[in-house]
Amino acid sequence: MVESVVFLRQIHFRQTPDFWTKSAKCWKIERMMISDQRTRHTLHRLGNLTTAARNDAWSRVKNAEALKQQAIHARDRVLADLPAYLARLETATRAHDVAVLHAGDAQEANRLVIQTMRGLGVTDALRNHHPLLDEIQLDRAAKANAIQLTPLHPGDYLAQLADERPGHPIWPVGHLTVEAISATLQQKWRIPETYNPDHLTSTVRMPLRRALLRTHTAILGVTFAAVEEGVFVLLDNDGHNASLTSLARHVILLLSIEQIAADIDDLDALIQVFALSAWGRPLPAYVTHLQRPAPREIDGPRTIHLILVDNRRTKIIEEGFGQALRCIQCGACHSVCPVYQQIGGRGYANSPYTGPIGAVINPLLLRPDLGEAQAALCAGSGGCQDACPVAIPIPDLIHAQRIRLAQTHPPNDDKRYFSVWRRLISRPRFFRSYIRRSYRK
Amino acid sequence: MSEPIIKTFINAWTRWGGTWERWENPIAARLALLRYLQDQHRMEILSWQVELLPIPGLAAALNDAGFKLFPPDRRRLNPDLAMGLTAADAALADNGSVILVPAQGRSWLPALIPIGHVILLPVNRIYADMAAWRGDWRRTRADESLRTLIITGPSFSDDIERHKHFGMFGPRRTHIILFDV
Repeated sequence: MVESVVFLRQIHFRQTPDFWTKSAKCWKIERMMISDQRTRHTLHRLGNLTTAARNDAWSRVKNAEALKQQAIHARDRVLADLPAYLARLETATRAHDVAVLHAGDAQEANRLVIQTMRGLGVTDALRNHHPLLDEIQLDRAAKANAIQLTPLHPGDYLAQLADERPGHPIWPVGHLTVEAISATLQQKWRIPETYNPDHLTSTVRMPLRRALLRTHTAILGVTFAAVEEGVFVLLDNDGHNASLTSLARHVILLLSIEQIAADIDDLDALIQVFALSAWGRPLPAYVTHLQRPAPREIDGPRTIHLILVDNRRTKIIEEGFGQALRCIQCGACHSVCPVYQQIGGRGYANSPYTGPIGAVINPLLLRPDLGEAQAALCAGSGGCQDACPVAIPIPDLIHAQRIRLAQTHPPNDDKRYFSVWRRLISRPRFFRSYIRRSYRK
Repeated sequence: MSEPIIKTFINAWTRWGGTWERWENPIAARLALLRYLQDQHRMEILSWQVELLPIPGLAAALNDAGFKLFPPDRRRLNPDLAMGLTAADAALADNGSVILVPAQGRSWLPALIPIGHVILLPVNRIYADMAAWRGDWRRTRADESLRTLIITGPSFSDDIERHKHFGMFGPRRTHIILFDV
């Protein structure tokens, strides 16, 4: 185990000249999970299964390269002229009787959700699983405003029960072992001891299904939207999004401003690329398209509110990190990242975005103070770039991040670290014994 | 509809866990439906408005066989209903998916709430891929709402160590009765 840490650090040393400055800060983060062998095994298994399924699915796609190029083009097209596309999306959705609201930051997004719910006279709602909802910390805001918000996604629900933050964009509790989940359910619900995943899933299913059938209001993070047609799309395998849009009378949609496609053809390409890379299948079990309220139909919402969330995204484009916003949040980079497989989602300082892309996005989007630690969470394997279906140059962006951090936060400590380093290597015997001791630990 | 496209659809549909049977005409499909429902021992069925299903004489046949059809009503939705019955607006051969477009009397609920879902699908509604279906949609139904549900196999959750648990929120079994027209 220690060897693997040292190995990671050695790779790191070759990658970054400012290794000693950064490593001290990320060391603690990495140590949080690196000692838990069972969790590491679970993360490895998750990564291997996902990678195998993804490779198999992509190998069956005719013109896979053309599809990827179409997806890249679809992302770049909207990112190149984001304000214009957003204005067109707003026009298209308003024409479909959808109320459109704008949120500059997380606080405003939360305030708009709470205000809308109060306007509808509701104090409880169901929500789906989406990184944006985690990014703006909607659960916390709802709780502070006495609004009961229940995640309907089983993984997200389990994460909440276990007092964890989702560790993966697709499998929120992918890092938790069946034993850990069983222990949580035994503790919280006093269920009999069982380690059968089917029994555990059924146990969670029952209250969620009851809640679903009573639902009145749903808060949904949107996977993608098509500008031209004003269509929103939600993807899942268990059917919670389709059921929510069908049963809820009022739907509040939250959309990150960059997750849009110019038209339905680009949207179809993005859906397919997402499904192939996330789940290893050409389409998920349920693709739900939502366009306008359906007040006269048996199912379908009577009202739809759309909240467009910026939260520093336009700033990221201005700062030259726009390529990071190509991300479709499929989690492909997670399954090939040697660092993620060691440290899991918790290693990213409980940030909403984990894995290699999280190391780029978190400091830009949320907490600049995470910059140094998260930029160091890269072993430079380059696997993420190969796995990314929209060809985000993640290693380059992390490198650019490191340069930016070095420029904006001059490493004052470097002199001190290097003086220690100089003294260390100028005494070969002491240096050798130090290295030996490090390995022995 | 060409045979290779139908075969492609069947292969893809089976790959994602769906079951199927194919009959030479709607009458044979009607008998197959009755047999399937009887085999499942389910007499209460959440269904689309029966006149909107693409098989003639279905209401009388189901009634004579003792089946009771429930129209979807979200206020009195029985979560224990085990069988849902719908048709599909279209099917995509390359992905093995079926497409449901909601309208009056054609709710999504029979496809989402019961444990089993039976889909009646005339073969002429199978398209080679999404692009072919979108092209046809633009030509014939461009002014309609794009609210659609694309179903590819049964509902499942694999959140616990990626172990697949079928029938999470939607049906555990999805069965297609294909028939020539």
